[in-house]
Amino acid sequence: MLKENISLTQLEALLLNFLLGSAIVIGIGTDAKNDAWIAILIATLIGGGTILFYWFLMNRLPGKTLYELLEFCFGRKFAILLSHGYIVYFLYNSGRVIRDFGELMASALMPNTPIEIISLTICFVIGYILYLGLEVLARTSEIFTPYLFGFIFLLTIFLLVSGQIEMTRLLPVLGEGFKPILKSLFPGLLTFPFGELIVFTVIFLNVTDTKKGQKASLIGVGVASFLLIFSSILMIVTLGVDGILRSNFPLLSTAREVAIGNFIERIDAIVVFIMMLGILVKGSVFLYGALKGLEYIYKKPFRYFSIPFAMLVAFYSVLISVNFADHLQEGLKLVPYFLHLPFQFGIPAVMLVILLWKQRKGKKNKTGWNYGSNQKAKKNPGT
Amino acid sequence: MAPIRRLRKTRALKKIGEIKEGKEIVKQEPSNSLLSLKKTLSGAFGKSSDFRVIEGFINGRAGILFYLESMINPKQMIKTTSKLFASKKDAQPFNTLDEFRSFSREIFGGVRCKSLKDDESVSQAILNGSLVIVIEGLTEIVSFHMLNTEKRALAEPSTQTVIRGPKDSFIEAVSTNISLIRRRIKNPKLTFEKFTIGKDTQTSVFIGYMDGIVNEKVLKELKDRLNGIEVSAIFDSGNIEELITDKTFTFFPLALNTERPDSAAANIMDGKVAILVDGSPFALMVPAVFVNFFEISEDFYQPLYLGSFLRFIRYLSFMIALITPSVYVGVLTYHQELLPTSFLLSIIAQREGVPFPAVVEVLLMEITFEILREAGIRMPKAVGQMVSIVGALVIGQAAAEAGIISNIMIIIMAITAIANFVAPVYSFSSASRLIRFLLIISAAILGLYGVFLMLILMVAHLCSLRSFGIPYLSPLAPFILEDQKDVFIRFPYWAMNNRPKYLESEKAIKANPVASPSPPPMKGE
Amino acid sequence: MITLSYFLTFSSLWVLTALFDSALYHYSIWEGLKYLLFNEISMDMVYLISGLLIGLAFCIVTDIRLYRNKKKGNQAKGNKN
Repeated sequence: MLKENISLTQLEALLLNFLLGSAIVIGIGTDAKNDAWIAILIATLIGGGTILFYWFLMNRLPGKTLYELLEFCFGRKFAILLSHGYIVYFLYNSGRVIRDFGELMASALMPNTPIEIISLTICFVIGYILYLGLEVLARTSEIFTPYLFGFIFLLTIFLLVSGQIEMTRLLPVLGEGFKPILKSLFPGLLTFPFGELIVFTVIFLNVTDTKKGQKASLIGVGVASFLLIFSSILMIVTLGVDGILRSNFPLLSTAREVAIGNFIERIDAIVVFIMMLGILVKGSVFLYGALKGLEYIYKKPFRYFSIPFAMLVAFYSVLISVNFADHLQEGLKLVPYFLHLPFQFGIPAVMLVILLWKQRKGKKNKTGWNYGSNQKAKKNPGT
Repeated sequence: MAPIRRLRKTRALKKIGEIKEGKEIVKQEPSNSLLSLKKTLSGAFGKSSDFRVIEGFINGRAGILFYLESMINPKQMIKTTSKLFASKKDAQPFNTLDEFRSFSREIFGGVRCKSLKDDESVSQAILNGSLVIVIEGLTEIVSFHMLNTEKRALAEPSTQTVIRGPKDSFIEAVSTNISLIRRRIKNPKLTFEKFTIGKDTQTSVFIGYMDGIVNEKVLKELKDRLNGIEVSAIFDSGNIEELITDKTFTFFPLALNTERPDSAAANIMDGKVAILVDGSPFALMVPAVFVNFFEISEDFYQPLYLGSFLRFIRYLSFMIALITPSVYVGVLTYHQELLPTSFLLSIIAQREGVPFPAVVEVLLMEITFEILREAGIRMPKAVGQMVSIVGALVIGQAAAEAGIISNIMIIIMAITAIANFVAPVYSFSSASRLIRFLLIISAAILGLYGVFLMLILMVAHLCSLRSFGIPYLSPLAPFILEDQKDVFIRFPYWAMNNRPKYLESEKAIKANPVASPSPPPMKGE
Repeated sequence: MITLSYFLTFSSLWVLTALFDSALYHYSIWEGLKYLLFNEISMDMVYLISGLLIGLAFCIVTDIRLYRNKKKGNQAKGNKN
């Protein structure tokens, strides 16, 4: 089977859409009130560190996915167990992402259409795209990314023109000190959206130029964070802190403030389109991560799994929680501690320790495994 | 004498053994093999009334002429045969093959001559419009190409017209088409290779490319695919297109067709391969990518800004043709709140008397329009006016006045139809024409969300397509910065010194970088 | 094989979701498992179930096709030997 290749631009586009994904739908860092943008700014630095950590981990054994790394560290049997854990984790996350979108559609654009239909249709599209392969996903996101910038630009212009923006809403900066920022940083911003980049560990090996890949992913994270900060500021100056806290989908509420003359009044559709793209990419990248895991466990090409497991995601995206409040509650209280932290940082950290230890032993013995990129990996910054 | 049939092979072989090239010829009267050849051919062509056999003496030797009357140029025929048979009885009969050759050179002059070895090639030569001469005692059967080259005169292109630029177009005769391209590229590297495709029709198909520029991988792939074709009949380049493209089940054409020799030549210079089919005035260009269908050669003949602007218009109208009706359906069915109130009120007022939901209204009108369009193409020219009058009246006024559709619907349909006609390549407009219906249906079910979803599906499908291994959406995805000179805007002609990178041609540089033309300095500088 | 993975993942996700629900609403995991499927969390379960069944059908069809290909491949190999 030929290896699928994605270019650096495509990696950046994937990262950008992935990070914007559901983060832009439900808004992040809201705990920090009107300092949310500072919180995101700090989180960006951590996010950059996170992705470099994942790169460092993957560069230990280049050309292998997360699952093969697990096998190297823990042996095939234990690796299958852990991989199953990762698969479930990725599918669950994919389901959460789709649920976010379903709720958005139900409350914004299609109030009379059952959320099940929305989940099923978007999951079918995701399944089809993944059936066509990772390249197609990357190219699709590459095609649509310019529109994303265009629409955000358009939204800003419209908001400026309609005179809804009050810069004073940003004040006072750090009115309550650093405490709320820290509160929103851990575990909120750390695990969502930046920690979720763990799923890219199955994509890194497809990048054409692994050396430049690190730089490109840093750029991707940077641009995404810039857009997140930008949209966060946009929300604060348009809605004010109270408005954001009261609304389920702050960016959508922001868009609804647009009113120019009597003509351009409701541009919800545009905003929903921005969000839909992010959701689509994020959902599919998560699903792709799970599919690669299944490929590893069952040794069958991942395409065969794509449609059935997309349906599975649709099923659980609805059953995941009773209502939207429940959904958010789970996302704040349970998921970060029981799923995000162990799978994003716990297992990789253990893996890194084992890897370093094994490689050291291997070097002493000079036999057994061949660690191709030892010298290369040493030069990597930011570990 | 040549072997005639497999049954008679042994005898025929003996004859060849007897008489070798350059050696003496012995026999005088018609032999068995000569007669048997006549019998075989008459058996094969016997029922056709235009098959002619002329027996006579050529320089004192018995000879037979075979030809198809309908295929041969009569003037040339009369001129040569009269000379052939006029050779005096007492003339020295030629004794060797070389003598016969010099004799025939005298009579036939520069006519293309071919010596044939077996039965199969004899009937093939007759079918291709050759005069076949068999002379008693000669080891060779000789054919002279005298095809009746009756053809249509060069005319203006009928589907891909331009305002400024060359006005000639390809015609049905492939030899003329090749010469039209050759006249534009006077370069020995321009190569035309012949393939004979179609088990029963034996259609000649030519591929033309610039040797040393074309992507060898694409060329090899194309040759393999052409050689792999096993059908009985080929009539047009459309047949070939469907047989060689990467994917049949798609709305998008994966090979560019053109009837303009200048655009074919320009594409060949870029590193593409042209496929010319005998009998078809459309040449195929492969590999073709999505953006090629928005480029026409005229972009480069017209002023810079206009060229770029027209490109933009073409992309815009593709989108308009694609999504206008479905957005109308989606907004009117699910998202009335997206419209400004006053506008919404006026639409609602217009639709007051309309008994159908928006989707039925749109489908009704779109189908009606498609019918009218098809009628407009197929109808005899004499009744043409009637259709347009009825169409305009029915669609335009009567339907709206009768309250079947709203006025806004007519505007929507008109803009869609006109935007659809902008597509420079007709086969590409079929994509937006068909996908439009899918979009309308999904908009009726899921509103604007359905439209978005279908668009994403469409883009994903486009991303997965390939034309001879080249990604269909390149240079957009995968994004190639260098190729953006000729996508949404066109750069000045002097700046276009690279061939498209996505074609991966052997020679990527077209010319050395040239500076913009600089006039002498202005006064006061 | 794919069908097996489908069921396995389905049940794992079921357990996970039920665990979260039971932690949030303070009931035992068995109740959580039961509620998830029979408590009409989803109003239009029909669509979801049909989606699941389509997925299952895909699995089974792919499995059968893979099995047949394998058999054919084996036969071809056997003939060669």
